[in-house]
Amino acid sequence: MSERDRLGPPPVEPLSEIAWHRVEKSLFATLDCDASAPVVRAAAPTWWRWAAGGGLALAAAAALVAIVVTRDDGAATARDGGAATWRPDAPSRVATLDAPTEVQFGDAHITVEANSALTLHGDADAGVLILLERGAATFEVAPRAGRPPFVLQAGEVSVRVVGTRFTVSRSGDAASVDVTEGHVEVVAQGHRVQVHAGESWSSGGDREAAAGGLVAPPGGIAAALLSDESDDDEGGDVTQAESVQGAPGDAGGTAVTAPRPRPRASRDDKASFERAAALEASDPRAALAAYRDLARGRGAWAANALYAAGRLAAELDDRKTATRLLGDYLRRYPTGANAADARALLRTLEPR
Amino acid sequence: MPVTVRALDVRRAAADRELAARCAEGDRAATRELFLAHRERVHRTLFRILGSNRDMEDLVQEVFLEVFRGIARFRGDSTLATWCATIATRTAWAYIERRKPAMTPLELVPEPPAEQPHADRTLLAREAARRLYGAMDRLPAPLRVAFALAAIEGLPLAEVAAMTRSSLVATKTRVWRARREIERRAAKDELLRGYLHELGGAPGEEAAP
Repeated sequence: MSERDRLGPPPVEPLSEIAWHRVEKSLFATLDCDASAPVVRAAAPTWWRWAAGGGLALAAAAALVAIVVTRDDGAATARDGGAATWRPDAPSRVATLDAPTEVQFGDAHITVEANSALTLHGDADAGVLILLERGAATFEVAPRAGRPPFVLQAGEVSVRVVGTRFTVSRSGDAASVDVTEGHVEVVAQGHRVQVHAGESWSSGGDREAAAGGLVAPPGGIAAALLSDESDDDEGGDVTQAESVQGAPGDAGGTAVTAPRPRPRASRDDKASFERAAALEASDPRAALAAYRDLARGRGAWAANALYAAGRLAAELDDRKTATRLLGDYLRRYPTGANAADARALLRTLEPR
Repeated sequence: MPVTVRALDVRRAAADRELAARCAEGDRAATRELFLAHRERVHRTLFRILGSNRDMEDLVQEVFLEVFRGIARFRGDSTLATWCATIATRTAWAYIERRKPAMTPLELVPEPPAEQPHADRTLLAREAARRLYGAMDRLPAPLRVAFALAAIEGLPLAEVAAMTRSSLVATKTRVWRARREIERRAAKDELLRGYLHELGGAPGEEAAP
């Protein structure tokens, strides 16, 4: 072969910046958990990302993973005298039509669903404010420890992120928050609720129960939102709906009630998932059956199980089953934690 | 000049030791600095050994978890780059041994536009690489790792031996056996045979160790 005809060494497929972001985020989340939770070393490496997510939920205090969700009468939340000053100049707007799109904004990775729109303000140095105008978006945000704040606003609901993965959907002024990784804190004018991975919070539920509502505490909701207080040193064990102080008449607040999380995943689901994962090496068919059984339920672990079933079927070279399961996953969880992986896997299963 | 090279090495070694020490203390900025500085080398090492692989992101994470969990043991006997690559090599080796690799044959590399210069040669290279990794899929881990690092990546045999914690003789034997095995499989494949030749000669052209 002459020099002119030399082919050179095999080309190295570069990882995309989005892929590197995923690697970095998952890596650092796992490192954050290392001090307080055993790290699961998977026989099949594709599922330890979820184990890391589960570890995050269990070790949330150490990982300082929390979101504060609240109503806010103001428009864009500003914080003076603190770490950040919003710079709403030159915002960027993203609007989608029939297809979702992905956006990298600072250290945040955002999947904007179809028929959605949001506006991005600020930058990585000053802090980020995102206004969700309509539709839904999924956010993967690196832990904020030592970084400027990251706030999302959807109608009357504001979400302050410390570091996690979550989806926000907006319909009119109502909004819902689904947490897929990490441990979040919801605060609404005098009430604080812990929400874990696999649980959801919806402002619609508040309105239904607003008749007997409490009133905002002194300082108003913005102070609660922007407070750096953590539940770690205030409440002891986390409860699902923990009231905090608030007296009628204080600050002339508007009546609201506590947001109520709607648990969709249980520790049993997590245990079932881990049992199925442990079966993969010794009896993959049994593991597949266990995943499929778990996938019939609801919540984050059902989603994880459905993807795991598809992935395992692919590894067992059962392309037909794998294609069906991964397709089901994408239909049921189009913005799920493994949606990108499912799409990539499906591409490898396409007939050549 | 040898003196200059030595001086640079000393500086780099000191910088590596300092960065490792900061990582060991839990300095997150240092951890990120190390990750950003060495991620390409880690990915490249994994790719050279495994080829295109759908578990690549997980494997990169696995390598860096190993790096950061063991960073306190880094003494500066090698560079951090080599240290990371060595862990990547071990990770790839373990991956090959614990499961039958399900490789994705380079389909993610974008097709070159027809008008792009050397488009034909690029396509030919992709095809040759696909066949090469297909043949390597059947090799045992020690042979595959040694061949990938020495013949494809072009690392010196001594460095490959250090990275795989093997003797120089064992490494040379593995490369030779791997090449002979691939050559056998390429008996009727002119493209692969020619590609093997380009990557460092066929078994018949060098003495067995």
